[in-house]
Amino acid sequence: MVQTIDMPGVLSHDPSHDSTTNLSKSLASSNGAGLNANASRRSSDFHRRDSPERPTPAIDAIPGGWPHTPTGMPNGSVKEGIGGRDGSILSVPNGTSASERAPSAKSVALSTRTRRSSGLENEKKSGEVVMEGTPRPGAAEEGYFSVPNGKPAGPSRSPLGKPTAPPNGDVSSSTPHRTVSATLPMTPSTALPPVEESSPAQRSRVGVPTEGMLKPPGSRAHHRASSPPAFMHTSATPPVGGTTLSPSPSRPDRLTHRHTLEVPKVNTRTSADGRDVASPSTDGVVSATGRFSPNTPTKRRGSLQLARRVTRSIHSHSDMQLDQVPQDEDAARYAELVKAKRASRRNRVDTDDDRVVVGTKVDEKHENFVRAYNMLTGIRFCVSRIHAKMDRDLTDADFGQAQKYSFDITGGELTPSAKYDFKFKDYAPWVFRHIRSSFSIDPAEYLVSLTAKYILSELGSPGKSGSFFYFSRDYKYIIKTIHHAEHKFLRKILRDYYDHIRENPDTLLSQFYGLHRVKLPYGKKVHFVVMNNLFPPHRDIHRTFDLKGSTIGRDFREEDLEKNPRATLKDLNWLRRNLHLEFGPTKKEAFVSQMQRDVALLQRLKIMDYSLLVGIHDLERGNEENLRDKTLQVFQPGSAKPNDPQMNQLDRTPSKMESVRRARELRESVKKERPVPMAQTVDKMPGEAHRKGFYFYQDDGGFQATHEDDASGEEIYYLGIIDCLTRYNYVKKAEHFWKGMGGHDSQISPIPPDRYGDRFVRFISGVTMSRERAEKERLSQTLEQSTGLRIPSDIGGTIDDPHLGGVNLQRDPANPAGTERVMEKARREAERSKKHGASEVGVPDRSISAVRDSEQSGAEASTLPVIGEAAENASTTSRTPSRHTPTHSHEDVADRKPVLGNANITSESIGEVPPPTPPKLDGTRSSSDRSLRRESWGGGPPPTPPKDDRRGRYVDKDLPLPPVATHVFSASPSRMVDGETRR
Amino acid sequence: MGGSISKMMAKIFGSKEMRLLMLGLDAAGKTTILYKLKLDTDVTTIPTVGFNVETVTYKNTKFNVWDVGGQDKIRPLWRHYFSGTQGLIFVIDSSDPGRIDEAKNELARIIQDREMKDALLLVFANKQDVNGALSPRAVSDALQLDTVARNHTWKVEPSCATTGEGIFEGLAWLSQNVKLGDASGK
Repeated sequence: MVQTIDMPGVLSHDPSHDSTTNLSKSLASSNGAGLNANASRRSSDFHRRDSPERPTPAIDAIPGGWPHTPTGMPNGSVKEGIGGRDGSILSVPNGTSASERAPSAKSVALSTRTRRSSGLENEKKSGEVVMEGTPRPGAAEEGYFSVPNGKPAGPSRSPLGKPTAPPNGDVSSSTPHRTVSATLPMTPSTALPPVEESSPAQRSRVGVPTEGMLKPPGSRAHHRASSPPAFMHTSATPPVGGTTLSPSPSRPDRLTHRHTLEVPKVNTRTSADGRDVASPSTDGVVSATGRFSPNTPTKRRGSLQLARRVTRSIHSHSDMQLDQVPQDEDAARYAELVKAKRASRRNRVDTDDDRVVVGTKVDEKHENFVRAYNMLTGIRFCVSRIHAKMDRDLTDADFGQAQKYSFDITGGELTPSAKYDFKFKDYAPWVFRHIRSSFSIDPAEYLVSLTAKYILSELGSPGKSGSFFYFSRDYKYIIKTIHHAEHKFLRKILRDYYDHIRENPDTLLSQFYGLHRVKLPYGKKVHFVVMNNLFPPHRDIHRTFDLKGSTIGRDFREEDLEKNPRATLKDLNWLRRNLHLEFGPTKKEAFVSQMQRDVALLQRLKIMDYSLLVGIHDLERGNEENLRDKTLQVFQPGSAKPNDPQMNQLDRTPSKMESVRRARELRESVKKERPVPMAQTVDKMPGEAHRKGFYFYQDDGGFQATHEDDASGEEIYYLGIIDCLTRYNYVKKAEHFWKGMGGHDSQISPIPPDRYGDRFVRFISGVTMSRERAEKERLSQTLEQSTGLRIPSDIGGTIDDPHLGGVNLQRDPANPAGTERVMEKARREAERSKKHGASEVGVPDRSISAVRDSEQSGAEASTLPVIGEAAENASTTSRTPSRHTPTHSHEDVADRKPVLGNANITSESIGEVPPPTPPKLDGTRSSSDRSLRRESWGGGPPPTPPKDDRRGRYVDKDLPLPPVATHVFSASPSRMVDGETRR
Repeated sequence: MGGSISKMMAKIFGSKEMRLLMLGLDAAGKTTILYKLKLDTDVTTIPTVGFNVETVTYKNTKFNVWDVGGQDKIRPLWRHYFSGTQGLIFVIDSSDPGRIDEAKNELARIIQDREMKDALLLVFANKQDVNGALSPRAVSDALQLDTVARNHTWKVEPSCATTGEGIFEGLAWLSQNVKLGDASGK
């Protein structure tokens, strides 16, 4: 192949190199390699292999007598000083390797020219010059190619050079690289310009000329041109005398560079090329030195080199150079376009494809893929069809309407072709169209979310009901298969449902967007509904509860929670954690009354067994835990999410250029903007925009907790009444009978719809209260219990809520109603589990446990569910007698918390003035409570507005129940002391 | 498949059946064209989310025409209608040169889809009645049909959906150019 020529002296010095050179020579014989070596200049210049085809150009370039070199190359002999003055020899592979080396030939030519022009003066530099030539825009590509080749050649030379003089050696090594770069210029067109430029370079010697040639900084240019830029730099600099080559580091750098991936690649190639290198030993040498035999490079074909070039471009230097190359505006715009396109493609891949947020992706291998495919095809077809029509008012017939379609691979007059044959039935398309629009579902968005791609994720395995759940790929919609009976029932109640929705746009009931049936040939008919997904795609739900208001069997074993932290918990778990739906008065009012209306409908329709699904997002925890396996961050660059303004269907689509510009702006602002953890932003996600205006989904798709004063709380609840298609039929009646045998008639879940609804409402409204209120209530209860005083609580409202009509309304001490009863149940449950002890050990910090105020007057020795903090209990627990006085009026509560037996509050409050709290007109007590609580959590922050006590709550929530908390404790001095010390 | 039987029948009796897909940017006039074909009246339309499908018989050829909404948001759904299509009618709003580039990109994307490789391409340079409308020539240049559609048989037909001008000519061209083999396709 082509090759660089080393000075004879050099060769002799470095045996290994010599061998290489010999090898190269031998190879050269076939290929022809030219080596330029200037003995005087430590560096040897060489260059590149040439493709036989190109020899001509090379020759042309050579005119200065270089032609000789080429010829020599073919011979395979290294020519020294052929170049003439320099004595550096450019070996151009001629015919032999020519075909392979075509590029190299060019490079040679370039190098020769440069040398000439630059003069022999810059021997090594001449090589560099060549490289510079490469940097040129036109040449750039080829330059890359050539670079690889050149490198190999260079290294071999350099070794040679080294022997002569250590510095020289370095230089030489560097030179080779340069030569490589020179190869780049080899391209005929490039070559010429380089020549001119090269001359200046030569003057300055290697470094200078190169730079001159290169538009961008010479050094960089070098790099760019040659894949081994690093080398070149280093080498170049030293030889130049550090003149121009700024980038060139000292040898060390070079060495490092060698070790970079690029070098190994070269070697590999060489080896692959193999024959050129001739002897394996050479290869070995090359690798050892980090230099390459000239031969190897030569072999490379243009195309191969291209590929290489790409790889090399990875090199930061080379990239920089590319970027620096001035582009004309068109090119720039085009590049921008391409980049944007690529980026968008990438984005699409990220967001749309493959990944599903939750559950198993239903891909082609999935057993249910065909069904999912058919569902989506059918939905797309039916929804598209209905939405293309002019809207009109509903008629009675619309409610009973059902339309059958059959799909096959050819497609019919009415149906598009589908991949599989199946039949599809669409129920009441007009009604559902209206329902969707009353829920503000944009049809286009609906279609695209669900059916643009055949991507669904299947959630776990079918539940108790045998239903399959699929999430749309953007997680907004759920497809749920339903039983035939449910489907019939839904159709039957459709009108009531529709009317209810019209009157109660804020309903908490499941939102049904479509009811369809799919049937595969020889398959079963499968009915399914499309519903809203209550939970947001962009927020982690930290806890999920399914609340029914019944206690029997409504427990999720806490032990299992560890295995499946995302499990849906039930009523007992809720009570054990003493959670509340923390809504202040305003929200509570709205929530409870809406729930009552919804439940009233369900009662009327004889529906039961529904539940309130509650997803809790703790703003403090934010999304950091990545509960959904998904890293979602929010960018808020400007305000311009490209999709935003397009809510209006009539908007024209922005033109391409417009979108490109917008994309650019977006990109820029994204650059400036840093991703913000969700916790710090309460902004609406664009995706949630469609839910705006729905009261219970107003806060980022959910319903944010509020305090007693209606200030925003720290959690967002995602709630809705789900599973509302179960009729109280014979099966349920039988179940009721069966479960009712145990005697807790009112606590089993299957009871007649009226009672079910009452119990449901009572339970839910019972647990709906702001944190302050919950605290207060707890206090008053405790107080009541411990002192025997009956508090005419204003708090009682939660339970005796006037609007709540219904079954267990009378309160009977012997038979406490509603929540109390449930609480009682929960307590027993807890006790029972306590007995099994081991199972729950080690879990929690908090537990519900029976608190026996042994210290107190004892007469009462009441048992209350109380939450205590395990740790605190451990240290402070009732070792000491409590000092509080048993009797307190309700009003005293704030001051005398100790009495209450709530450990946290107690410690701080005893004998102390409550810490300063923000003044509140009607919330004084609660605020003080809050602050107290905060204190008890251990040196928490100073009293601050409500939000700050989140920390405490956090603990509450997260921690599973503590068996540990079994201790009986009361307010004790020791505790108090603890608290003080802590402070 | 069942469909092919009827197609065989159609062949025997000398009538052809053709499945056409009509696409284009929003507000180009697709739905108006469709109903002009079907009802021969100028109907008032709303932006189509989804699709309209009508069957029109013209010159012994039964055209099954699918008009799919062209709003930006739902363009991703287009490709679900590709398979089985023998002819693509791409409608251009000739009076809106500003978006011709966008139309070009969309067209290129469609026509290069594997499922569309055998389809005829008929471009309606619609809204010719508007002053300053691009000429068919200008439209084909702007769409770069020579390169984009070099593997297809294509034609640009000036049209005016409200008057019906050019529309049937376009259909006639389609029916003449349907490949014989097409009936068996898909």
